[in-house]
Amino acid sequence: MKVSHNELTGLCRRAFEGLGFPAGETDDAADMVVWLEQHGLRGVDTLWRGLDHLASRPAAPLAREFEDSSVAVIDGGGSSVLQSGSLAADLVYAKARRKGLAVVKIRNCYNRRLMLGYLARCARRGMSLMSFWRDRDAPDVIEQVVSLRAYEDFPTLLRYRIEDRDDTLTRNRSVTLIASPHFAMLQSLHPDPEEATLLESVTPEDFAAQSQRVWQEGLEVDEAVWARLKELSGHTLVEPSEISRRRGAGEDAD
Amino acid sequence: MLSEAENTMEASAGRATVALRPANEVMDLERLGRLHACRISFIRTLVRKMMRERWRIEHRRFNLDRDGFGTVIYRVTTSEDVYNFVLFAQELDDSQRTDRVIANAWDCAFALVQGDVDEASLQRLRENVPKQEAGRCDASVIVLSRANRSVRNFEATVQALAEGRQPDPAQLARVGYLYRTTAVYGNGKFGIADYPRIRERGDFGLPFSAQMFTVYLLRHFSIEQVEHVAACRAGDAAARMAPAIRRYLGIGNSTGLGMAPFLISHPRLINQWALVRETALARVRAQLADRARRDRLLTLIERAQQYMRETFVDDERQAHENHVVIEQLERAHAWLAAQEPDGRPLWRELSDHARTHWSLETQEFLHSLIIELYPGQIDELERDMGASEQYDLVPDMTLGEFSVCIETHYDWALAIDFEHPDAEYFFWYRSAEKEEPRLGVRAEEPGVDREMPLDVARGVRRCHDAVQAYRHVHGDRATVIDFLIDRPGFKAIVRRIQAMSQTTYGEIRANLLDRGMLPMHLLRCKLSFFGVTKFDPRSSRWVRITLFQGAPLVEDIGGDFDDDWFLPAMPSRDSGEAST
Repeated sequence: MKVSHNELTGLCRRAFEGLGFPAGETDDAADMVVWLEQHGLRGVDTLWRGLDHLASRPAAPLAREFEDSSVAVIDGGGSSVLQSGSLAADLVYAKARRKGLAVVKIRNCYNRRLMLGYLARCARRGMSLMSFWRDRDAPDVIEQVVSLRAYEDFPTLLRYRIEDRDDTLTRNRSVTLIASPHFAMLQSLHPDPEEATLLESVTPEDFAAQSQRVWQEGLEVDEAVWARLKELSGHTLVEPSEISRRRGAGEDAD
Repeated sequence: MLSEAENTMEASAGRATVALRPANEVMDLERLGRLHACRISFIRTLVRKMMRERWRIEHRRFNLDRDGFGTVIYRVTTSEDVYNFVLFAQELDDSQRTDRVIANAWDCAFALVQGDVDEASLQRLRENVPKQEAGRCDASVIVLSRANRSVRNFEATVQALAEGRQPDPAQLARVGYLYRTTAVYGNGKFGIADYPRIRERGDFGLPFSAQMFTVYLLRHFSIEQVEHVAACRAGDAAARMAPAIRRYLGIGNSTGLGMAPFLISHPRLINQWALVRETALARVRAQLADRARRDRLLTLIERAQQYMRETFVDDERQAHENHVVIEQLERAHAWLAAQEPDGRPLWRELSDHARTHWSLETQEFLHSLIIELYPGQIDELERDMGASEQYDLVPDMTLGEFSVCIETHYDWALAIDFEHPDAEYFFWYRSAEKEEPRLGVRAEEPGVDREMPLDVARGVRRCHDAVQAYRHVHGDRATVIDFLIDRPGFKAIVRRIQAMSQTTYGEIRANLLDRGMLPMHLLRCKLSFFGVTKFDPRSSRWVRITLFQGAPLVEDIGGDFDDDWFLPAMPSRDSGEAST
């Protein structure tokens, strides 16, 4: 079914509220899903695949395993980045603002691609960022690298296939964030062919064009997903009573 | 663009410089609830644009049966694009006619569509538009709405025209419309176009302008429909409505609490509207008067008095306030007439005098009137009525800095005693019935566990307390992000405080949970920026209003335009008889 950007954002927000996300996280999580969807990277599908997991366990608080002024390692507690990823991004942003360069690694998290939209927001606030993570795609490993230049709207996303059968990054389900307000980091388009094969390259121009298309045409969302999000958002609603029906909205109040 | 960075809290005009009014005065809910429409309200801006650009509005289809049911399409050509207003009118049983959002059927349903509509599109619209919330539209639709007849006015008007006479102007002064809209949807609702799709375009780039234009076209339809039904009943004996009476017809609207959450979830936009209005006021207050403008203001005050005398409300509080306004406008008129105007900052003197002597209603009415005196300095401000609502955290702000930020900009919220039992008397929630926002009594009604986060003042209080406790342990150099990783539940309010502290006017200053809070003030605040008139509260949470009363007609477009149509006087019966 066709839906609008605003409609999808609102429904996701209420669905996350229904899942018990705290205020603020509901907005950021919804924006992450819709940003990815608007830019052609299947945000809703990513959410759909993680939804049961999200619904079945409460968010684990971020635990800082190591931290100094410019580096932090965080245990994501097996949560989706929808639940805490934006705070990790704000942490790397804050450290880089103070120290010129910062690295934050979140271990033990999933849905990592969903962070793109929030990283784009950080970039618009004058921060160059790079994000890096790996997924198991047996028998190989898929590596994803995102880079964003300060004050620009859209990132560059590269996907590689890596022949690495025993990869700790994959096992750890980690994502690494690097930030600096002073310089941008660029990925190599020609990695060592012995180790990596470039599968996909999405440029800022591609993101911009896709975004424009969505404003014109709306978004396509599977009806089953829509119904599930509606069901979750229903947890925020209050069943009507005769009193609420009569005076709650105001027509017959007083 | 009037931006916060450029704003210097003052407006200069020629020799004088006048400060903007302070936030604690402007954003007080009691005052916001007394605002009146003014020349930068959305309806006024839209009419200026439409008239100056000579938009063309033509019939493309007018298939109504003798009772006025059927399909109507108006094709609109602007300097930039083509739109079609597509309306479906149907018979509605009286028992189904309600203005509540929870209704499922209406006298008519309509959409404003970008581009032309072919038969396949029309069929899709026919299948979905009458269903409103239960239907699905696509991104070619930019506004979706519905309306119900004012049954008594509609029938009386048809009857009068069918009998070859004009409708009674006195009745139209009481209820100045044939139709009431009950919701006007834009910005992506039910699959229609997102606002960013049209924001960059000239026609409807300003907030709510597409919605207001759609209502304007409904007004045109209501006049055409009533004449059509009268003609079907009486043939050549039926009268056409006199132009003066046509112009006196507006469109009604019923609004309840559904509007309130918008105000709280769009604080930057509300700040921007207040900033623009206050800038307009400051620019005028900085002017030195002259006799011609003083005389013009005297005329406007007389007109305002007559308009208020021809405004009828049942609500005791509003009726009393209107009575006071009429009486105080008389005094304002006398005060102004006694002044030697030339070379004096007379508008500022009048404003200051009003502030110390007259009611909030009268003060704000006078402000709307004096803004009329300098269109050349004011109208350009209409372009600045938009704002983005995305807030970014400042994660590296120290908690010491953040505490100062709260205590400086939210002192009004910290001053509220939340220990008092009345301070959390109400709670806001969303009903399972069409997700309608409602207000409940905390101690009596279920749903507190699903309370909507409209409690900005209480949120600020809780956040401040939590930050102080964290500072006590971790020190002033701890940052906002340190605090939030520990207490993620405060993220929304922290970000809001940081963002709104950067604005001139910030938040609406009220505790929306308080027993004494009047939701009506929230509704009126927003509606005044729309440019509506004749506030007619039906309860403390529900108001009927009128839009476009006095506005030029479709047939006036292309002719001379004097942007002086607001506050129309009731036409005389004589004004109509001649056109029978």
